[in-house]
Amino acid sequence: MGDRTTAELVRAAAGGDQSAWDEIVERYSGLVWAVARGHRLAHADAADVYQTTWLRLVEHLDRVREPDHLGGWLSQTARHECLRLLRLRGRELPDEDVALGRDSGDTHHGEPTSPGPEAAMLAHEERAAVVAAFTRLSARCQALLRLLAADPAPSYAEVSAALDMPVGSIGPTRGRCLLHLRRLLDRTAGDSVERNGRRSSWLTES
Amino acid sequence: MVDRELSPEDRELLDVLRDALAEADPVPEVLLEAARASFTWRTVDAELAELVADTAVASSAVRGPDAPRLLTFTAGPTTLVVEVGTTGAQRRLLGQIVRPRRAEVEVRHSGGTLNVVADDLGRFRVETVPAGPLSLSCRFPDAGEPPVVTSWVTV
Repeated sequence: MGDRTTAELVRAAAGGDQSAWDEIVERYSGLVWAVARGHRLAHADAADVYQTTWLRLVEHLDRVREPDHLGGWLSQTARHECLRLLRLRGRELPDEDVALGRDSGDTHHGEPTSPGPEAAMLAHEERAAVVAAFTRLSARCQALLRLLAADPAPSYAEVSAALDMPVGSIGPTRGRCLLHLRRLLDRTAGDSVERNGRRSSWLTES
Repeated sequence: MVDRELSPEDRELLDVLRDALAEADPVPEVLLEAARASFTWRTVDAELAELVADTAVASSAVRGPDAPRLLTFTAGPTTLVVEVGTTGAQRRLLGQIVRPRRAEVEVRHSGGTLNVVADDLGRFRVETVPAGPLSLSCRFPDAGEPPVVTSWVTV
């Protein structure tokens, strides 16, 4: 699995191959979700954008002109659908609706299994601290970092299509956003140093 | 890949953020399943009517905030105008096919399908359809005329 190119997958899916379609969904699901969640939409609206984007692709499979740029096409389609919903909702959204995870309705924080329970708990706390700091970033930074953190990582062209941001400013903006995130983490690190008696490796100053 | 020019520290921070967001806000499994299942909506014989106008994204200065939303789709010479009314999580649809003619209209939504008939003047009405992704498929009595299916749009 995973050895077919995107263009091959698109052609196969256009011919009715469900397994090719499933592989496309696997490959780009994280990207589409990141675009939808990066636009300050309530969870239910983000879910609608995600679904509508995939339904659009079903209809456009044999019309996608450059199958190799499918990620960009999906990013742009999702972004336009986000803007449509933002207009429809009058644009203003209370911040709590945008808060991460809290409203996702299907949180499944199962116990992590691989490391010992103590290490796992610590890792969990670290991740929670990162998410808390992340939500204090500007909307622009959140949207960008969320995309860059999508799995698998999108290309510059896909990020550009998703945010309508020139390719040339992605790198510098990413640098500023990560710097801001690191500062927010350092600010809260004082507490955790006293509590845990250790500094997390990702707080290292560059 | 976007990882070029990333310092090791930035790369590490981004990796932690990736794990953190995957834990805090994953793609809900039910949505992933819906995305896979959306393939069953594939139509091979129909002409696609693209969404060419949506008053929701037009300048709101032109229309009052309470004006109903109008969606316009076109496929070749056929135009489909749909007015969308909102009642909570339900939507009401008033449709008009141009050139006016009879049609069997299938309303496709995330929960399934509904069937209505457009009258001789091309008018049809759907009292209630759930909010979310929507697409309409029209079949015409003239067997030689291909069916028209609209692009999906969130209502």
